[in-house]
Amino acid sequence: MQTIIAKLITNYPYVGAFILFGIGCFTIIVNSNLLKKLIGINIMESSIFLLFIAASNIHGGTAPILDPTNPEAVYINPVTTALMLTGIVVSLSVTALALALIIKLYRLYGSMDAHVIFMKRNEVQNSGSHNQQ
Amino acid sequence: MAAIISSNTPILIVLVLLFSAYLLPIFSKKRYKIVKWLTVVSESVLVIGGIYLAWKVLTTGQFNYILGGWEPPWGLELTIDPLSVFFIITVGLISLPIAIYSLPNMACQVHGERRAGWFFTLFLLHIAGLCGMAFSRDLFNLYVFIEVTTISAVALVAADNSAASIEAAFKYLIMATLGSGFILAGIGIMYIITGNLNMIFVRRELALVWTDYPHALWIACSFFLVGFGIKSAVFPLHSWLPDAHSAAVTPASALLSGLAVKGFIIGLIKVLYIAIGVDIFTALGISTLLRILGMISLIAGSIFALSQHQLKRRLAFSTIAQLGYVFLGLGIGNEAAISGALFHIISHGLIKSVLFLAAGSIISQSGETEISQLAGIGKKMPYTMGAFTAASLAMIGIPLFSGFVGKWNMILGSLESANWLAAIVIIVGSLLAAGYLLPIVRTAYFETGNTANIKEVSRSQLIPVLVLAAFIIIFGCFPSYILELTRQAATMLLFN
Amino acid sequence: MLDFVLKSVVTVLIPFIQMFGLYVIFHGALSPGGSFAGGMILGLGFIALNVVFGLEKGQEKFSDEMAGFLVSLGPIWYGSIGLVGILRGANFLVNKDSGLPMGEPGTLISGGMISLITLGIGIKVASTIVTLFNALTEEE
Repeated sequence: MQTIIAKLITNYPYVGAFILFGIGCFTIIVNSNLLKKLIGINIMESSIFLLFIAASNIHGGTAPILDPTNPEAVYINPVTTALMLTGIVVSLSVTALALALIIKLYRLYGSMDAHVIFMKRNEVQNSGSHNQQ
Repeated sequence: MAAIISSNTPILIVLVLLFSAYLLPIFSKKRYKIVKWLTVVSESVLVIGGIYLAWKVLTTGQFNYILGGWEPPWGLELTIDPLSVFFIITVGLISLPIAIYSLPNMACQVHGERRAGWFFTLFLLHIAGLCGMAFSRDLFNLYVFIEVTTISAVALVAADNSAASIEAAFKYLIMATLGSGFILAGIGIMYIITGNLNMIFVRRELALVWTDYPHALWIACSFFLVGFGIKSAVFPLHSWLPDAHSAAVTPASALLSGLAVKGFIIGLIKVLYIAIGVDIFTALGISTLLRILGMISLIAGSIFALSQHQLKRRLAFSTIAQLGYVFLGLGIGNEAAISGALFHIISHGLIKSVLFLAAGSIISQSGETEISQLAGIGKKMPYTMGAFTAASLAMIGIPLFSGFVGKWNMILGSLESANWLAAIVIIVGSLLAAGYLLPIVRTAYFETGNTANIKEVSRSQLIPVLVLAAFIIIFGCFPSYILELTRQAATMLLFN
Repeated sequence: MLDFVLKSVVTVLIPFIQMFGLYVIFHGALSPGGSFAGGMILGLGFIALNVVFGLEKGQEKFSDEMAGFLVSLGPIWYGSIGLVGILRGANFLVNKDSGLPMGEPGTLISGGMISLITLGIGIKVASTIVTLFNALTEEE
């Protein structure tokens, strides 16, 4: 038990990343407000960025830029940083697309709440089918 | 010049699609005709390139294409193996007729030529993403192409700007992004365990160290399963699919139902079989999980489809059921079952695009979306309804139609591994497919209704559907070429 | 009064913001930063213009059509640079074999095609950000 706790404490970035991942998923699933769902997505993606960045970190390491004056410098792994830059771009485009859709939904239904939108849509459908009969 | 093209075919296919995708918005404002030509030309390049690559793989074996002159594990590489060329051929054969079908009246469906130009941009980006997924051999590269495919698919769903489609698109976006998050987290765990992103190097490393990290690897595997499962709509995670595929414009629903969901299954196959390796994930119990998920979504999707009264929603639920077959075949995991599952990917892609395009034609001509309102339409639209009937029979699995070959191989595979339950479920699924598709055909042909003003669709929209239906029968009667590719792919996945 | 202060400050700042954006783009091969960060800064200059002077004034300086054209131009530029390698008989996106001047390490003109590629991505990112901002703030 103690070894597990010690491992969790030494690997605190990973623990933090997975806690954030859970918070993000929870926010997406539980909140009915569309904007809060989007915030949940952003929290979740940031947690994955944290996971990747923490994986490449070395204690006492410096940024991987070649420094001729300090030949013994320890460089951190630059691969995951570059990958996460791509991840941030993807996250940005998802956020932009989701915001555009939220704005359109708000103009159509006058609300950002998933329940209200659901009820209004059902009203429209019911009245539509009633008219047909 | 010919030598340059032949040695760089894989990247040129993706580049032509991307270039024309980005050129379309420039032309769409004033010269809409160029948009049409560019779309058809780049799709044709995809078909020709796919067939050329398949010929090359079948005669000389698989090869890799290294990008930027950096050898792996430092650089990226594209892999041209039986699996990827099989999927490229699938994408080409299915998306070219869909593109031709959508050309005549897309501008009126999405309100304006400018927006139609953007629609085709998204269409081509989506297809480029699918091709990139098939080619890529790097986990992160795979993720990037998954995102390209997902975001363009979401925008395709929202293309016609109606309330229902925007709502469905938002639902799809939330679910799909959740899935991408799971996939990226899985890739992160794999990178932490192995220190590599190239699939071949990941597998070599895993074979040495996986017994030290069984729990981490199990978490990564289940993250991949959930992520790809959401995107390819396996049963408990399917809730976005019926809305998205029934609310989109007809070509978009045909493309998404026929190809997009299968692209994500190809991604799952690449991750599980090439990056992790069949021994390791079977030992972790993932293949049992695949089998169970496949059976549940087969039965549940079919039963949900039976209870739908709208034509497009019934077809959308049937997609969930048919994807269950593919998951089941992958879960059984011997050569016959995997090659049957891969064959089912192409055959279901053809069948479902015929069904959706025919349904779109019927809905646009008659204005009715309910199945009960389709009475008597078979006599007024004989060719469209004939294609619909052929596709229905193929979906049920009648011999001489393409659906039979895949199911037959899967049943053979399940009997080979003494898995009676799977064989029974496959047959029950066929019966259920008959239960939800044949009533549509019966209503259309044998009931009489008010069909006075209904005419057959124009020739430019009829021919693509008929060509796709012809491919269903051709692949049903002469499956040997495709079956050879899928067999080689299955052998590569299992024994490589 | 507040309006006046904002307008004067932004008028002075925008050239420097955009200069800094271009600096980050072109030094992407040498130092931290690069095309995405630089393109973002370049685009934020235009967004500042839009925010402070209104969308009409912003449209005069950087119209939607221009932005749409540059959104398409960026990736095509990237792909065309990659094609140089193919035309010279090597693979896609090869750097040294494509025959561009490699220069001396540590100076601005070094790294062959990397500066050209980052320029393409920078253009794409800047115009995309401006397009996104305009699309999201558009009133109907």
